[in-house]
Amino acid sequence: MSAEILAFLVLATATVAGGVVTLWSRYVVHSAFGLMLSLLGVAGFYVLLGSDFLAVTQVVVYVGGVVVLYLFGVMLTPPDREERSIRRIAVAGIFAVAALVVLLKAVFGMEGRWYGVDPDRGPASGGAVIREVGNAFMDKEAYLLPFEIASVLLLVALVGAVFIARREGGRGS
Amino acid sequence: MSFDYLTIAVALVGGILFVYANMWILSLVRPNKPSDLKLSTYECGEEAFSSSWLRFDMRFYTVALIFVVFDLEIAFLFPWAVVYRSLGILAFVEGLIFVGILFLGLFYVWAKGDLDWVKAFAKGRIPEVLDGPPSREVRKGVFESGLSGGPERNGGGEEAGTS
Amino acid sequence: MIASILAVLPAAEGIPNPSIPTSWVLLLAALLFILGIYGFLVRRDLIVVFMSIELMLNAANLTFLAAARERMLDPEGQVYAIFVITVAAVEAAVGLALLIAWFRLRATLDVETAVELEG
Repeated sequence: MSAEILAFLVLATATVAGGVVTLWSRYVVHSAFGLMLSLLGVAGFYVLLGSDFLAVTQVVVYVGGVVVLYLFGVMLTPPDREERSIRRIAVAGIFAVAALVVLLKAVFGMEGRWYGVDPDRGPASGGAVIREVGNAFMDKEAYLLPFEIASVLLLVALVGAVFIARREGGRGS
Repeated sequence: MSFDYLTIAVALVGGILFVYANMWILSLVRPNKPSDLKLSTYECGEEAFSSSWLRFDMRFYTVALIFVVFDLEIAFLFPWAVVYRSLGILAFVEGLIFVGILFLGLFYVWAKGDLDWVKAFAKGRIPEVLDGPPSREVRKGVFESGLSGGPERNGGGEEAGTS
Repeated sequence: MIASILAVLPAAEGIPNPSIPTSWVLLLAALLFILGIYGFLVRRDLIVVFMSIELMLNAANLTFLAAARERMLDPEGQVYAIFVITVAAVEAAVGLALLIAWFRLRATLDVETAVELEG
């Protein structure tokens, strides 16, 4: 067993275990930390897949930002001790199994190679890819418009979320 | 790249093992005599009287939100920063537009006072903040607007008389 | 033998870590997506519902990057993944703000109490 496969198995265990903790724990804080473990595992997969920049982005944005946001959300709202209901578990299980069948069929049903691989495109390294990503962002034939629209999206999210979350007429505002 | 991240993996595993191995070794030699008093939550010598859950102030969320937005800005600007020198002035202007649009949001939250930790200061109600030791009035303002939620700890005492 | 069954799509030469078949990564992404679906449907706490959505979006990202690796680290896969991360973070930010506002209004996070618009 090579080191890559060992790393894959460890990361797969961490990712799936984190996901299971996220959706099974009765305590929302445990869910948040399970989500963090799962997202770190996914970041490890990005490293294995050669996407170093995305791995760092995943850690910085998700683990450093979004999970913290979730933790603040948890602390701003009380613990909600929900009841487990057999009906919900059954319905969710049916949908999950159906989705599993569809996805397994999709994965195992693929034949041959991925279409459209440029035969001249040689093996790329992480350092070259980030350059290509930057060129794609700056190319107006490619992703320049989505790049600028993303900043508008971030602006709307910032203003909207701050506006919604602002305490209206309460103490201290 | 065969496995460049082996160093990080070794450091990670080594760090985790170091902590837990030490805890395990120490658990072999330390005395273990638990009692009710030792196991209770330590709260500055007082008896614990409420749940550890208390509602945090909204401002923490606002700051975290702004942090996440500018975190994402870095994710977009890093590829731009790698290539803008080779693409000339146009790419530079494109990056400036990106940053400019985001700064509109920053100016909005700044102007609306969401970044002021203590809102009373921003509204100019307490002008003597900057010179001299804080007066009783100021400390009251800090307490009321800075720490909402949680049990009131300061009792009736001196603060109640000023309101 | 299990590896030979799972390796329906053996990784191409010249890509990072070719000993890991792309189909393994796709299977793991499928598993993560299904965990997200299950959590989305079974939990009533709105925060955990949002976390399940994050799991599903991460599964999608994993699929994007697996495909990008298969295509010799195609930068388009990375670009899409960056956009997905952006949308996910924005969704979390606005969603949690709405959640906090809703909690202020209703004092609960149970999704089954959200029946205001029901006919």
